[in-house]
Amino acid sequence: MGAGAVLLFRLIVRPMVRDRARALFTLSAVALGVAVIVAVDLAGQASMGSFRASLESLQGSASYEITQVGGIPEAAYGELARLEEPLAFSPRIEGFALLPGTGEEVPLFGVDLVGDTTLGEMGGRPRPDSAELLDVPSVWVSASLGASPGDTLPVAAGDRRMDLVVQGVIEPPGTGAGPFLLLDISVAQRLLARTGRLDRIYVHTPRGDERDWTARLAAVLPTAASILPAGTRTDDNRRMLRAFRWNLRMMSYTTILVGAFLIYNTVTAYVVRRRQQIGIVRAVGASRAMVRAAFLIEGAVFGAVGAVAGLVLGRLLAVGAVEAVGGTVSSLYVSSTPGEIALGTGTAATGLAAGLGMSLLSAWWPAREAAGVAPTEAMARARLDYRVRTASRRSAVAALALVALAVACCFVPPVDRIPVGGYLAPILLAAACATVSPRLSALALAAAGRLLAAPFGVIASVAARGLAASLGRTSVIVTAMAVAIGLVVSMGVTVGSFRATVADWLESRLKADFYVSPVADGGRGAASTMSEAVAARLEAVPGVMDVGRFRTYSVRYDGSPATLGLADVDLYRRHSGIDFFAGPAPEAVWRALEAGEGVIASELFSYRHGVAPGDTIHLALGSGPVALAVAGVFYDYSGERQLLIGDRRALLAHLPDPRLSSAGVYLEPGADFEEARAALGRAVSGRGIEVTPTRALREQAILVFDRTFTITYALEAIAMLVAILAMAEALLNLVYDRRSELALLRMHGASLAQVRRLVLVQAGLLGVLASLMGLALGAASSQVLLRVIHKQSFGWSLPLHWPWEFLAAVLAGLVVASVVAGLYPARVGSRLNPVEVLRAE
Amino acid sequence: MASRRRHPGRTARRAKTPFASGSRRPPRAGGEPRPARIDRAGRVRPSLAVRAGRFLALVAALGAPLVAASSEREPEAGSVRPGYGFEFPRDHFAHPSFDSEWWYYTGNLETASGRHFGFELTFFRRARAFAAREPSAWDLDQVWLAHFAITDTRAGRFVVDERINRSGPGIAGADAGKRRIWNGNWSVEWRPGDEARPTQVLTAMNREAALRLVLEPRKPAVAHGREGVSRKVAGDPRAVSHYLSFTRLAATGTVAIGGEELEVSGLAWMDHEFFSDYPLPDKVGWDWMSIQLEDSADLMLFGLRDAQGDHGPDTTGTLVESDGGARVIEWGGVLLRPGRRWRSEVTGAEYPVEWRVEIPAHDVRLDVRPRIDDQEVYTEGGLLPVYWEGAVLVSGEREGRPVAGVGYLEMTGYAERFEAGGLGEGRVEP
Repeated sequence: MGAGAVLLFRLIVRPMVRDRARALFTLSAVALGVAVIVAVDLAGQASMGSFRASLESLQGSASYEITQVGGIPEAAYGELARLEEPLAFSPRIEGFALLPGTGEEVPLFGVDLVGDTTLGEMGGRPRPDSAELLDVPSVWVSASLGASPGDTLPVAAGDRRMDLVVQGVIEPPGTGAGPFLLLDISVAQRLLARTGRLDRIYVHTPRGDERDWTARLAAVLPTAASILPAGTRTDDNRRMLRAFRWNLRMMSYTTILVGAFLIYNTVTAYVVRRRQQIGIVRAVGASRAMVRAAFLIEGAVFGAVGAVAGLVLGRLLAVGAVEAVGGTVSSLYVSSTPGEIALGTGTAATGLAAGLGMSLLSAWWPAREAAGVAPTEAMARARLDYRVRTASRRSAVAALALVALAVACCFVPPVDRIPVGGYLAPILLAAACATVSPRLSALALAAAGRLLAAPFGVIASVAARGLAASLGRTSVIVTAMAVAIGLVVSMGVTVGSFRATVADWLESRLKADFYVSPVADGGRGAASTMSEAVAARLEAVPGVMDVGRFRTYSVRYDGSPATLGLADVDLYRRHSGIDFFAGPAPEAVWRALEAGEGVIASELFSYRHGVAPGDTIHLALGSGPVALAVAGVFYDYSGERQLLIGDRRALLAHLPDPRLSSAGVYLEPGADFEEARAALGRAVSGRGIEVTPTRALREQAILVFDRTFTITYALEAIAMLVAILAMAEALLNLVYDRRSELALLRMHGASLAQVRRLVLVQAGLLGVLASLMGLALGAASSQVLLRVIHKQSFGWSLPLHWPWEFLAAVLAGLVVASVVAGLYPARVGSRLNPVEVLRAE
Repeated sequence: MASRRRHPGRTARRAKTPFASGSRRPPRAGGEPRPARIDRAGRVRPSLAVRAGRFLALVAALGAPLVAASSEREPEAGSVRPGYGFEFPRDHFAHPSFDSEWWYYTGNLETASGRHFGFELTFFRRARAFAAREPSAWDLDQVWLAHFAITDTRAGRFVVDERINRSGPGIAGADAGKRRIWNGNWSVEWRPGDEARPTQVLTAMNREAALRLVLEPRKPAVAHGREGVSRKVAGDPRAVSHYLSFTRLAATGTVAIGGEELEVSGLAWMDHEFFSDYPLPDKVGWDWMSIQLEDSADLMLFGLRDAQGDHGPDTTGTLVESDGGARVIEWGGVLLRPGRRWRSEVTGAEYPVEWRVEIPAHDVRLDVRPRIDDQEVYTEGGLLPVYWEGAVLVSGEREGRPVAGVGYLEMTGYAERFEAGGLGEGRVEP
């Protein structure tokens, strides 16, 4: 014990304490990496938690849920209620209501307050002890809304408004339920204009009953009704979100990867610098295992301390991350309110394991190197660097093999919608980069030494040669930075391409001058509607040429949710350009649609279901399955939804509800925009309907887009920060390792300024080298992101757009940052007392 | 619907008297509307003001306004009148213009080996005036309650369940066209055929028990009282209902309980009453019984009690002879003497579960004893008030000859004293 402790202290603790700055850099990098993992995980959970909470808590212990496109005719509920089986049923009306007071949009549930015996599971069952409560539009609210019994709560839903009377406050079991309103079904039907229809019926089976009731239920239901295990909708959402969360997670792990290079570098530096000490302790009897353990412990200490700090930091970052992720989830998937941030053991364990695991893994090679030091070698120098250099020839071959493997990975199909191959490819590319890095660095530094000698004098070529001499660690640091830069570049290119594509698409898709829709649109997938009479009123406004009517329905195809849009196809054809990328000539597609002969499918729908133009799909609509031919496939970037569009007039035969989700207004050429805008506003005023100029809509869409990628931008920034930390730390190592050379330079008359310049030139060289490699890595990775990961997880084809300004800014910033990162090491280098250093040597 | 059509502009509901009483089940009177209470969670809940009778319960549970303003009564509300021309099958089903209506099925059943079961299946209807600009099937213009109970005499077990629904899209109703009275999957189907003696098929189930019975009338329907009007108290001409009974129904079918399904047969009784509300200020409850004697005579007897527990002169009933002929028993002609009392551990109510019955005018003396003591109709969190309704055995003598029989006994207004103890809050606090 005593010998081990002394060994540990001499080899590990003392140097760490002495090089506080360097230890701090390494720890910060690990902490940041772990923090990002923790924050992203927490944010993902919180944003998942919200919609799970409000949907599931109101679902109770139901076993099945019954739905139907356009709603279940309510007479079917009577049939179910009379079924001579020990079943209980809960009818539901679902929608969103806007609280004009706060502008908040909250889910609204209409339940049978009189007959539903399962409401007790909700916690604080709203009991109509007096049926009079149901003669006024009573509402029971979730605690989070802060309303009290007796309050009047004005709400708007679609184009309807109602003053609700708060009767009670409900807290469903479980934490983190978002806000919601609970109404009696009769009130909800009126508020949402859905008289005669139910949105969902939950079926409760006897406890412990495992029988399959589907056939029994189907016997009394319309053929178009679907009977699914309860929670399918939540599962659908969860499945969609999973891909998104996986992408975020992979990004967060990249940050810790950068941290891992850093630990490797730090421990390697210690090993190289302490060869003598290692030789001495080996000479006095320490075993190889003991030496290896000592360095592994060092890695573990970095990992553990960094990870714990990372947990704390991650919990703090989570607050911001939740907002960012919540924004993404809302704009991309379902309207949701983030739930509680709860740092569970799972997340903590993941963070700790990532931090510790990465540290141990990256300390493994330097520790093995240290254990290989023979007592007699105590005085040998830089064995590691020598080995790196000799290995560099073979490394080129290995790197090529890795690149080939990465390319192969791109052709691996997704596993359960997770693009495993896609995630693997950038990691392989990074590995290839690491493998080839020493050789490239050597070549580049040699070239730089010659090139820089002329403009910067001898110091520059000394700087380049200094870096080349410690190639082992120089290349590691270059790799670490290149990975970080690669991440930034690939994300930048991907998001930039995406943004440019969406902007083009918005330009071509949104051709109407105004869009008119209910204020409370309930976010994506919620069916807020307005009366068709609104369209007629709009048509009567002077200067209006056409009004396109649009209605969406949630449908299911082949086990997954999709959106069916009913559009005035002739108007689309005349005014809007939909870009088809597959199928017959656009004219033929339009003709088929106008003839009511089919639908067009979004790229995502086509990709997910393997449906091509000419195929026929069957949808359960209205009275039963309807066969629809797929006339064409179009680009759609309106979120991760599978979209089908058909002619409204033809589909009204199956879905006869004439209400509209939105309307597009096309002005006559030369009509006065502002005048028309005011007149349209007057035509629909007081109905909870808003008229949005298309320009504003595009801007909104881009804003939403940026909000969607806030978390991505944040992760990029953190990766950059880690990269800069890596840079500073690497330079500090260089300064310490080259102390004797710096001292010699000083002894030979180099000025303080020259030494400082030497370090700064080295910093700049590292920055440029890493940037170039990172750029290459990023460019390659962005191809993987665009063509493999995005296609497989989201189903979007994204043409490549180089965001030149962004890239230029990033690279310039990096080089500047690396020089700035060199300032402190330069100061340390210039402060060395040459006499002391040389005596120590 | 009817009331909505008649009063399109009104949202006010039909005014109700606080203790509107039913015919055979007149509720107790004299209560002021109870103040609203504050529950444990601090929320104000309207109290269930009256727990005395099942009718009252309907009023309270469904929130019919507790406003004693009979002057506001709309003249169109269905009213009970002498000489009402009963027409069948129409009058076996709903009369929506009357405030209240119920269909009561009770009976004594046995398996081939003599195992006894009692059953109760009851459908209540309560009208509420309701007007909405945009009608929905879910409007609360009619509210339907139902009770289902099985007495398993051998096991000493009493299974009881309550159900409340609005008409909704076919959830509950009593429809002459469909020949069906139902509340969810509890139902009575009236088979077409002999309209004087229609076969009725009962179905009810919950997660503990199920009942499927075919009932065939052995006597035609009887209209109680004189000129088709059943009076409830001696001195008040307003306290009236239309009251029909099938007093002797041959029952065959199955009872499922405790995981087994048993073939049963026996005798059942059906009551159907409809009326509009009226006040009965001096009464707290009633005692009612149906008796089916071996000699084929049937008896319907009831008496309303005052706060002292006396029936006074307010007892009456009907004797239905074996040929179906009905004879009204004069006021005070039924002597109801309570015997042994049983105390409910759940509600604390004390019921005289044994009775001595004498009808001097018809030379009848009978002892009425329960099959089991605990046949108290109480459901966890239920909205209706607590009452006792159970299968009984009857023995005694008629016109000098010993006679035995079966029947059902109903006692209401015994749990009232516990009202203040929290009954309005969903029953007794432990």
